[in-house]
Amino acid sequence: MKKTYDLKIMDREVLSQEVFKILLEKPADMPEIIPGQFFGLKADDNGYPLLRRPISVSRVDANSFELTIKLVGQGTELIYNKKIGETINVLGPVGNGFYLEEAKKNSIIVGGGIGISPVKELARVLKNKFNDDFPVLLGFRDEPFDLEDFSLYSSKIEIATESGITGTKGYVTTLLEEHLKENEIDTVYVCGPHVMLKAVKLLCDRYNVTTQLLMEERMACGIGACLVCTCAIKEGTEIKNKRVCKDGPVFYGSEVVFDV
Amino acid sequence: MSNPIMKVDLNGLVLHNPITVASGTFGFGREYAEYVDLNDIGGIMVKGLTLKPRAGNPSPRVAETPMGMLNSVGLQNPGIEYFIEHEIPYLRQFNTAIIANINGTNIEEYCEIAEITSKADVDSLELNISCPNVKAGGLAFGTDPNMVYKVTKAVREASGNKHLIVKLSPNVKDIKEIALAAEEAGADCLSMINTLTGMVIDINSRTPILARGIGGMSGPAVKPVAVRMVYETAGVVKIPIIGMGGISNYKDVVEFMLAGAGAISIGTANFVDPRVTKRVLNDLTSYLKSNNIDNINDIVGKVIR
Repeated sequence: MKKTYDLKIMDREVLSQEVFKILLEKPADMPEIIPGQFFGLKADDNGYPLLRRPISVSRVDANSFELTIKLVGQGTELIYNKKIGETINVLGPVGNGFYLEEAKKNSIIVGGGIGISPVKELARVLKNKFNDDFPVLLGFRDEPFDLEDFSLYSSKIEIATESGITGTKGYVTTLLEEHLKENEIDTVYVCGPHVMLKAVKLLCDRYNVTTQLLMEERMACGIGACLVCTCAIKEGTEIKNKRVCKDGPVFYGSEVVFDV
Repeated sequence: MSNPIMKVDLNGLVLHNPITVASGTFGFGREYAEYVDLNDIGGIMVKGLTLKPRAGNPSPRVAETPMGMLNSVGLQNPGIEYFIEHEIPYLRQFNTAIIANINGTNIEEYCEIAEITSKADVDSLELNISCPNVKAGGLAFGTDPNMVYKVTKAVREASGNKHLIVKLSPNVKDIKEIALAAEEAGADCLSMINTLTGMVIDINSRTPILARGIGGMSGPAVKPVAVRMVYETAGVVKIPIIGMGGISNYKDVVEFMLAGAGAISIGTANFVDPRVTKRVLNDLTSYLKSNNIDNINDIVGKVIR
């Protein structure tokens, strides 16, 4: 039977004004963690705030795993304020993660903002699987973060920033289109803000390239029972509200309906 | 001391323990079966059902509130036929009562789904006249005593002799009037409370967080309201009450039962801890033992008035 875990915080690293990561111990009886899966974090043991915070896994090691968290409110602040050595209650890993059974070498990884975190773990897994580095295109509003760690898993990182502070000024789609024009691409794996997911999907549609999108939505239970985190998905001629937490969070771009 | 008696009889619906799970918080049990033994749960109020499948409301459907949450799911469900064919056989593997939460947009629809469901292998019908998240029906039926009487009476007649629970809304002027109307119309049992209507506004975008604006509030924040309503209702009706609203530990259960609930439902707390039902059952049993109470029914309504 599945359970929640009280896990020791082994390390914490501040990446920017609003992004930090924590390293948690990985218990022996925890199921394998697939890139794109996430955990539901209980921000505090006293019960407030009430709901768990859904946080994607950004790296898995032999006996630990890393979560990258953006400070957005009281819950994430409480997590940030926990001391190294303290424990945190987690539910997971939950969700499906990226579909990698038929992964091809000629694929591209795209991440934007805090969405670079789950695709960092994807880059690590794909590098191990193919013994090669995958092109990684990362978009940031301003100052990039976590690049030092990310570069361990790919030597082919390209950056776009909205501010132009570094890399190409603009969006990742500009970088992506160059690749799509020049090479035969199998799949683009992407995580980022809603507008970016949509832009990448539309661009890849034009080049007939498959996309796997890691979707984000406000959640409650995290295991598929409460039906609050739905995403409109095409199934044949029908449009269905699928559960982001349980049926996703990764969906094929071809099935996601953006303008409901 | 031997284990206390946990069995409760809610006017014909017998549960092996008084802990049930609230409709809409537990799906059809499948997801939670990975975390908790469903045999340890007295009864499962399944996700609200309608005659035809419903896609539900647009996203976002959830907003967190201080010690609570708003939801605006809008009765997304696969429809009654799918439920009967696929979900009842699944749930029947477990020793837990199947309580079918049924919904409609008018009295004819309520009666039709009640008739179909009462012939299916379920232990009870929970008539939902209090859903705040649908345009037609739902809450509109639950806020006027005359309408409550009418719809309950019609559904009572359409349901043969199937056990019938009426789920009450807290969004009313006088809960006692509503409860009495349901009782007079032939309800075997009441469940209360459904969610309180609420709203959260994002001050940056100046828009409500929920796509539909208003949603149903649940969680520990609503508990005192629910306890008060159970207390008031228990003072006037003879039929049993299933109490719910913010229950997350055994103390909450005892509080509701003292107020007059013959059984309880756990709802939002399932989202926080998928194994909360089992924990509450264990803690409740220990509480009874350490207080030398050998039958859970002995505490029902025992608040000093």
